[in-house]
Amino acid sequence: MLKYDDLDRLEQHWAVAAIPKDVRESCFREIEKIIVQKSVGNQIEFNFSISNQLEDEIRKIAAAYELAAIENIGSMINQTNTTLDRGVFIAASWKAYELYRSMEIPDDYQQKIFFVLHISAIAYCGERWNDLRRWYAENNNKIKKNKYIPQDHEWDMHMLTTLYECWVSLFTKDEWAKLNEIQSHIVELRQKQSQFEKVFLESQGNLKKPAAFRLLSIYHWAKCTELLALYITQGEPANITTQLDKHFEAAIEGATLSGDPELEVILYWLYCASRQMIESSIWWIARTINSKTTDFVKHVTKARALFEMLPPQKAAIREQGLLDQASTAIVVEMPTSGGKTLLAEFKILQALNQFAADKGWVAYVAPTRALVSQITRRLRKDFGPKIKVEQLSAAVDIDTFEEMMLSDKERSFDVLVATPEKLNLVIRNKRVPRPLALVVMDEAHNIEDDERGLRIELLLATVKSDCPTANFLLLMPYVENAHTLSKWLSSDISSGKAISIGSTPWQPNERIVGLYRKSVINDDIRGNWQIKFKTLATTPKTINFDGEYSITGTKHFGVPQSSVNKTILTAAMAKTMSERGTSLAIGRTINDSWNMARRISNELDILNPIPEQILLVQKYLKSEISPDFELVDMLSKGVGVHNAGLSDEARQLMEWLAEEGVLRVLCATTTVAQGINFPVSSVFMQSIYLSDDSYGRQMKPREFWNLAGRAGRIGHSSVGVIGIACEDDEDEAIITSFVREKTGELISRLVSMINDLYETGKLFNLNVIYNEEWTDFRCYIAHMCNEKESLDEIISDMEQLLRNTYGYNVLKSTRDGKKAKVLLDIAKAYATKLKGYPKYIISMADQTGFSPEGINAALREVRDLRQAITVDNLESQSIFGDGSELANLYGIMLRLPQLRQLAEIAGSGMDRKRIAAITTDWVSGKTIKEIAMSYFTGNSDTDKITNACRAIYKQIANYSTWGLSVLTKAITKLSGIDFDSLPDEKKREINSLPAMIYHGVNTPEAVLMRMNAVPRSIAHQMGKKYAEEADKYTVQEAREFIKSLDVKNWDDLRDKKSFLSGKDYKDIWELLAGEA
Amino acid sequence: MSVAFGKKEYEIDAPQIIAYGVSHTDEEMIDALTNEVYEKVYDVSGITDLVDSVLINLTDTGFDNSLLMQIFTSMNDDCIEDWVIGEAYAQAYLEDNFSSILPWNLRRDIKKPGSSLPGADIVGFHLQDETVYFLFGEIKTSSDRNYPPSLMYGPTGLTKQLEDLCTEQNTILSLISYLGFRLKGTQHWSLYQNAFRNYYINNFNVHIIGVLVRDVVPNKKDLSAKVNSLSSYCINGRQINLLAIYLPQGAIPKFVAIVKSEHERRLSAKC
Repeated sequence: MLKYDDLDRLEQHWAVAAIPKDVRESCFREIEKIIVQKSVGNQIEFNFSISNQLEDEIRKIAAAYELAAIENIGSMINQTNTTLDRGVFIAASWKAYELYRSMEIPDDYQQKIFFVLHISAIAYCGERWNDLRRWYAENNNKIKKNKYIPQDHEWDMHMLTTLYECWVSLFTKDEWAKLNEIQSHIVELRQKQSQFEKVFLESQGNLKKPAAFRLLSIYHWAKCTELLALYITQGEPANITTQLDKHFEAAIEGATLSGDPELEVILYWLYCASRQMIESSIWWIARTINSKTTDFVKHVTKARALFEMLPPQKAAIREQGLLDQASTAIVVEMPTSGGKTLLAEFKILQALNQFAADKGWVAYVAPTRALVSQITRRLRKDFGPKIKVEQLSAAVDIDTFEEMMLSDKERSFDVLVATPEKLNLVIRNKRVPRPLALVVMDEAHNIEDDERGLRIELLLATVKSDCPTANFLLLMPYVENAHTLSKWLSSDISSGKAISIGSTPWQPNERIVGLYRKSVINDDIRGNWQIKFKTLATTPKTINFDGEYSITGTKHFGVPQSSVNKTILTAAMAKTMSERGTSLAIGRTINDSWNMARRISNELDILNPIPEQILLVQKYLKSEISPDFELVDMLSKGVGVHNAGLSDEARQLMEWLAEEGVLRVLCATTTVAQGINFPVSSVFMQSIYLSDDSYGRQMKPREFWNLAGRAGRIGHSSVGVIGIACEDDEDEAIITSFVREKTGELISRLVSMINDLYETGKLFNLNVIYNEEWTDFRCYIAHMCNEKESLDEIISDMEQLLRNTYGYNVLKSTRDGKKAKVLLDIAKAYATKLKGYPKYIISMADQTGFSPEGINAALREVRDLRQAITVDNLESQSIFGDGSELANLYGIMLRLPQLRQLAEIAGSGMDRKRIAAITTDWVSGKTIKEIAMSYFTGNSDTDKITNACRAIYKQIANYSTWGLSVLTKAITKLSGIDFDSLPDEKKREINSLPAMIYHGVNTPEAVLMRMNAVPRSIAHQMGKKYAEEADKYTVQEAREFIKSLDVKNWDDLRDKKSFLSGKDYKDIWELLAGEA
Repeated sequence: MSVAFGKKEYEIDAPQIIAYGVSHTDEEMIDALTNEVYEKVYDVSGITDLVDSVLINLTDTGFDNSLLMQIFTSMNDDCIEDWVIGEAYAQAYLEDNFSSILPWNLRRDIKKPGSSLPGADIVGFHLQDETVYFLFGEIKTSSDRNYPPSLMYGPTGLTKQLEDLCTEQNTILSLISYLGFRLKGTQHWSLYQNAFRNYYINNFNVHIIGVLVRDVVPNKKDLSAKVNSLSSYCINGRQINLLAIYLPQGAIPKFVAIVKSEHERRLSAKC
């Protein structure tokens, strides 16, 4: 893959060096302006003037770069030629493309053909096929318009026009069908030969012979085209390079003999481009891996039109050893949109293949419930039926159905997708009786997250100690110390590998970053104002030129300048820029996101027609939330909303709409960063401060770029625009320096916690371990204690156990080992303390993810309950009935520190009884709107719905389920009953209680439906039908049952008042379940 | 052997333009036609090998090759016309008498149907004062009794073609690129590099040449009429050269016969 070193060498090349450095640099700066102006010029008034002289200058400089490529072009064809520099060839093509793409496509048809083929081939040779697709998207009309209709005697033109269209398909690769058609186009040419060839040759007079050579050249070229298309679509013939060598060489010689230098040159470039195309094709890269991979490639080429890899993906596999079996821990550091998931898929297939005999499994860890669903959908879609992908709910509790699936000794699943907390429970309790082959940790930079970072680090440490066969694959963006992380997880010093694109200039898309602020206009319009966009220099690779430019439009939304704030500014930017593709407007709070959406949708017309995807989501929202939910009307205008005040499913559907490109603007909060990567054209941020933290913490640069990286879509759109709202000069200074900050190294929470102790002078206070932030560490030590027979064994092995953590390794590697020693002492002291606890407490801690202290407290509270709850009460009718059991349990939960987030509902005036009532209504099937209106306050219905959603999806779904799981275990324990001796039905009932809360249904069957993504409003009815036919009561059986239902079945089961028809329900289910 | 310089018939005194006429005797002409010019016209150095290698795999393309094979195996010298030989004559003359290097052969640069690349009859280097310049130019072969001949005028006339070579930066760049493409790895590469650097220092560091091949009595008017108009393009150091080669009267219509008879002579000598 192209490296900065190659570019540096290129600049020393004699042809390039013939142009003074300052002239070159200034030309590239001007090019950036042209590119940005072309792309965003209708919205941002750049007003750059482009002189004819510049065009000449560009052409001349491009020719010099192209010459550097030409000098080394042989390195592409003959890789054994060591005298040529392939790096310079790629670098020169990279640069030449950069220059040529700014030039206008000629109007003359034949000139256009050669121009387009030339620029496309150069882009491929420069490893810029993703940029090329963007160029095609931007110039689509010009590339395809003015189709030339050749006359009968122009047989060569007949063929040229056909071949041009075939190569446009080969370069864009947007549809499998189009590529597949290429073969029939070539067959058609062969059929037409007898009709046109003779006429053409006879029309050539004395130039018959050169004309014949020209035809010969084109025939060989046609054959190359056919062969290449066949290979790209089907991976055949296996000896593709030999075949292409033969025909391209003959084609080029034919062109030479025909005396057509232009044809000769273009064929040479296409020859090189086809080599590059083959080498980056998914078939070529996967050809020697294993049969599982071949099946996968067959599937994704056809199902997803995924024919080739991005350069970093190709480099990861072919050059950087992603699939090297000796590497036990690999960290892939790539920006958002870099294509990490595909790499993970290859690694998963390799791991499954490697562990096939032992029925090994793979854990895919994603940080949020939404991402777990999205990854599951993607993996199922990509892998097809041969690889079984299952997900676990985000509830910190393994319900009865999950338990069955996990404990199955057969291959009930191959890949398990889960949140870190859930996987922790699975690993610590050894729920899967098969070897763990690989852990894929997505968004692994969360390791530095204040709240969950330690948990994630300790999960990896646990896997390292409990699952000796497991390999690791960590996926993360913008991390400078990827190598250190891989060393930590590797089994020995040489088996850690970091795959990074830090040393390459490649980027998924081009971006311009700037700040926008109000600028008052003193004219006849009262309170008039406009927005000024000021471009900023940043650390990551973005387009950068100085200046402040006006955004089109004035006095946006009719707001007078005195009332303009950052929310209005952001909404105005997003609305204006939505003309060029979906804008993402990120508000600081949920309210801000709604306010922006209101302002924007008030000014937009209803889409005509409203896309069917939007209509479907509207019906879903009407049925699941409320017919008069204000988002429904906003969607008619192409405005979506995405925030924590919406259900997970609603958010997933918003993401889907954005992915489908049917939204003009998506108004969101920063929580969108934890969602899927749906690329948008522009991203605008109201603030660089986060709202969730009450103290308003500034975003970390990594968090910022993870969000901003979505701007600009691979292969679909042009320059991504990123903007930050700015209030005044002071704000401007902060933003300007913020975007220049480096993303820096990932820092272990253990390290930062120890550093905090050091700074506050509490380094030697061993009792700090009882502080809340140390809970996860205590759980980790407790787990280690649970694994070992005796305390002595734990104490003596403690250092080894701590070495499994990243933080301890980092502390240990510093010159002053004092902090590492402190951590070790803290751990040992706590392990000694645990010796005094009954064994079952430690064991329950492992089972529940609670700390031993939390378990102790829970047991104490249950014991102290005035009105005792027994195992007999542990059934849904009782817990979710009219009695006070649930309220009593909530009373306990509210007092347990690990469930303190539940208090956020209570803190808003709710007492335990009301929370119990909300939970009961939720489980019994009341709609969000009904719950919102009954229990929540707010200035508007949307406010109430927001508060209800937050309470249900955040606090209740996460903490009530966890709490209930702990308390049912405590009650069972205190009842002195052996849980395993209970009848199956009773066990299922008890074990389903938390899941019922999580999914908002009140029967085990409905839980199974919800686990398979059936909308809540039909889950109960469908569960009933399933119960009539159910045999094993498993997730898989339930899914097969759902799959077997036709539209009529869905229609019969739905509530007849629902806005969703049977077909709509089925469509929504297919979407949410990844069965589409 | 080399093509004779001949007798300088006239020289035009014009600022920045080098323009003169030379004449060849019968003997000098026959000498040139049967040696350097012949070699160029018949491209003895390797075209046959090239043809063979492209024909071998033609059947594998899936296209019917019968008609093409018929053409390739017949009419070996069908393209040899007076003007083709005239161009070869001019090129051979420049190489031997004008410090020029024209690296590849005439036959491979025949203006073909369909190509959109504006070509030039002369593509190579000019060595002057120890400096290498790209040399691009056009050749016209004419028996026209008028001075200057009609081929000097009109949209495809020599004057216009030379003016285009002075103004069309794209054409020059395409030619430079193509030249680079063909010369990489050859003995001419260092010449190319020098000319390239020279051009990149100044776009005007390109030498342009127009050659008339005539079989009429030498007359200054052939060139003088256009010297003035072309002078205006000689800015920033650009050099334009005009050359008229006068052959014995009525010689051009005999070109084909002379060259073909030389060909037959060589073939029978081989046997």
